[in-house]
Amino acid sequence: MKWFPRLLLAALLVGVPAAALWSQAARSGADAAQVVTLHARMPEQGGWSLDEIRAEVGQEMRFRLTSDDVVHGFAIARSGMEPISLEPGRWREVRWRPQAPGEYTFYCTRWCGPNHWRMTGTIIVVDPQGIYPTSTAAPPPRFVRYGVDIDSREAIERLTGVRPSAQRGAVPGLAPQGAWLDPKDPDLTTPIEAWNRLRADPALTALDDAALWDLLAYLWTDRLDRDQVRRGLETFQANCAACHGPQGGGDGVMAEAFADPPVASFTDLARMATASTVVLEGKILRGGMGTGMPYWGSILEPAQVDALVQAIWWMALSGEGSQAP
Amino acid sequence: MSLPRAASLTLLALALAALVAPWPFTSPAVGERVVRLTARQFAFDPPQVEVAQGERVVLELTSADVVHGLYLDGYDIELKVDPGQRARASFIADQVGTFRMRCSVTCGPLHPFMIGELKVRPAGGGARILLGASLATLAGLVGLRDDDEALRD
Amino acid sequence: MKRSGTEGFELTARPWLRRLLVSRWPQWSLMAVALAFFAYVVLAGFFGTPVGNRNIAITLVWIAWWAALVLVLVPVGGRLWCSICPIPAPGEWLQRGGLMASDGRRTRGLKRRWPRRLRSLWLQNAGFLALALFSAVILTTPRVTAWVLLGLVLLAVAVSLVFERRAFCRYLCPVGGFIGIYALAAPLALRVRDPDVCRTHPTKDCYRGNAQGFGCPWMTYPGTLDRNADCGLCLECLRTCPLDNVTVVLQPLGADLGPRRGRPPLSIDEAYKGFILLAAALVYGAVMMGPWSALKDAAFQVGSGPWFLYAAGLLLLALLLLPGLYLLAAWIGDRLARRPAGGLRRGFLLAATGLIPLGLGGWIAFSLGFLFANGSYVLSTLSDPLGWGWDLLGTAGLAWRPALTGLVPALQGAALVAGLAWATRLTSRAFAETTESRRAALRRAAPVLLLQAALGAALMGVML
Repeated sequence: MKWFPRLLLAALLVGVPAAALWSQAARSGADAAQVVTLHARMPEQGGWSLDEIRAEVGQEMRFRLTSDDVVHGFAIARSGMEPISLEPGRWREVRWRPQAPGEYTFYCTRWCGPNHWRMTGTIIVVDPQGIYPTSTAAPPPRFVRYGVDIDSREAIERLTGVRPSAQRGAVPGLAPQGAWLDPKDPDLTTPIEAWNRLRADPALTALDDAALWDLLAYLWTDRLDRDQVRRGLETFQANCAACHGPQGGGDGVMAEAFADPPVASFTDLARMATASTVVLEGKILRGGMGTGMPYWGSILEPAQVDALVQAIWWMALSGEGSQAP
Repeated sequence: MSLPRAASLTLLALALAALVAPWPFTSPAVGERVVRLTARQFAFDPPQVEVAQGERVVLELTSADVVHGLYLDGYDIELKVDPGQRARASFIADQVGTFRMRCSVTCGPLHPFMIGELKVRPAGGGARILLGASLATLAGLVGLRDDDEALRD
Repeated sequence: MKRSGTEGFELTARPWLRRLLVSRWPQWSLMAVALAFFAYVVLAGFFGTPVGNRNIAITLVWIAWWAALVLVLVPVGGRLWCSICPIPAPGEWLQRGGLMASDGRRTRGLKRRWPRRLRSLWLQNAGFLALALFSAVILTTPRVTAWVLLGLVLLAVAVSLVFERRAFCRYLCPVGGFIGIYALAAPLALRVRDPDVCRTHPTKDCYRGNAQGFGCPWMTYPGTLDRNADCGLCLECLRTCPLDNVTVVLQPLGADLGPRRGRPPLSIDEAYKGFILLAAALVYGAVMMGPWSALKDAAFQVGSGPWFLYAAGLLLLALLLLPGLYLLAAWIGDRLARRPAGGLRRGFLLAATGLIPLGLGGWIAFSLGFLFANGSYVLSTLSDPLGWGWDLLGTAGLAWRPALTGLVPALQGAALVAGLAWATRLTSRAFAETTESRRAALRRAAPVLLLQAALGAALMGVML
């Protein structure tokens, strides 16, 4: 009987944990996939546990993911992967097989504080055999090609507080005679340039300044693709509203953290009057230098950026805020 | 059962009733009350909310930092919200009392202690507690006579 | 008047139960299981997820064990937990030279006697307060909990090797003091059938040990044992007594809380334990169940300015403010009763009697709130103890959901009301039994009863 207590204690202290470990190891199974264990933590606590992951093209990857503090999300940009939610202390698994060599950005998809968008990492997919086609390098964005300086724009103080409305501007029979868009590329047009052209239009001399802004708003939003606006507003609510505000007013819950320079307001005509589609696109792709604006070039698809820009114009000029058309 | 013991137990029951029983003398209010709450690690703002019994309460929750939730004791209502978004729930405040609002999404170390309070008037707060404590003390004193009788027996 | 010897219902009168208690196996097995869980918990704390509510280091210890201790084990069984507590086990096994040694004549270690000056609750009081200052961190951080638990075991082993018996449990364990004074309210008790048999028994096997078992590890002489505070229910004396004079009884409620031979039921160090625990119940209730986030942050940000304020506030409340209020109430009572026998010191200690049911009621209310709000974490972490993504019992995916939130306030209210009423009754009785006239007793008690009612109301305000 002397050995029995020892046996019992050994069984409890070693046997039970070993059995638990074995049963769970057997459950998870093993395969040829490359296993990547990734812990999400708030950016202030170090962000992702890995900044850089190396992978081989065509080789399946198995991500084992958890969060160590608050709710985070995980997605690989431009992979077609649906974002998954990471709850603290719970594990999720997702598999991914890179189809082309290159650098992929993985990022957090649920807001986790003001520095949420700094929570990114890179997957470097190599092709040792050199048999997979390399994806063609994306052309440089338009602001680079056109040489537009997206960081120096003036505010037009007299327009502060002016809220044009496309609804008011939709007067039947009222139309400009001449061209009001930028002749080189319509997307280079800024609202103030367009307005000045309309002001000079002899057909519209009867309108006062405010009514002319309403007409511009109508003409401008009439050019937007309604479906793209809807998609853009969804992307905006999920990714941008926490700073830029649910109505685009620059008053989101995180805005306090970025007081200098303040978060851009899309409903402030004084600022928006000097923006153009090319400028907005550039800001989104490149991010704001020295501001809290993250860099989206590696995350969003070109069509998503286009949708976002259209949604921003909608919020700025439709008079309907973030209400979808 | 001896008389003092019975009296003591009655007083105990009354003390408890004073603390937690529904208030019988109420005239339920009508109308709607929108309660806007901002959640942040580890508090709700405002931390204490008061509504009147019978009001339709619309809870509107936003978050200022990370994903939070709200679970309302007693009413079994749950909301979850991402920062910058808004979650809503509405209910009729038919139960009177103080109910804790607890964060329902793990949001950091102090998450289990992230608590707010919803008071549904007439909760009586201080008066209830004063009455409860007095009755409990009285119950203890009356119970003493029970010991005396037992000693005499 | 409370006397030594048995009162109430004798459990050991049943032969089968007596055999079960005398045998080392049942108790040892429970202790071994508790030790295993203790080891799992420490491992989980070090190697499991840092997310507290997904790690058994937090859920099993601070939700499940704590609730079991405060809601069941202590109010019913007193020091029942101490009888299977795993913390002293490794040290005791080293001391006894075997996992299940039974020969009490052979023990190892330096066997020093515990210093006379330290034979009180003061070290435990200090230890409990020291932990209380960091409680917001300990309760939420698995790694810190693991360090604390590991530290306690190592300390217990070290103390076992240097000092005789269970000096750690009796004089150092921070939880031991908590359990000890509230055990005074518990019905389960170990007593001797006839104190005269012990008095005339020459060898005192229960204290010295014999071939059947060890001399009282708690350094208590069972022959004169008349209160639960210093008996760990380890049952060694049940095994060693050659005269079959030791029994386990269910005694009448509050039997340990009356004045003993005219002396107050609590000593000054025990009264202070009562103040500390009452203060802790109030502060924990405010920090962990209240809506005041600045207080929560202060309690958690150890080392910051607000934390020092919080720590100072807690210490002030426990060591000066509460004792000061009791002293003031006792002084006023002393004056009102025109200086009764025993004077202010005795009045102060008699007043402190009510701290036991009042504080216990507060802790029960606190633990009820915590258990029903967070109990679902225990179920989910049992399946995934380390937060590694396991699912042992199929409950890992269980979502957090508070239980019975409509009923819990009533249960909490009942605990607080009962605690206050019992405190009132005990205090009045204590004064009545030790004061010459009824009138003087009432005058002496009145200010104390008022203070108790106010503190009861404060507990209600915080917990409800």
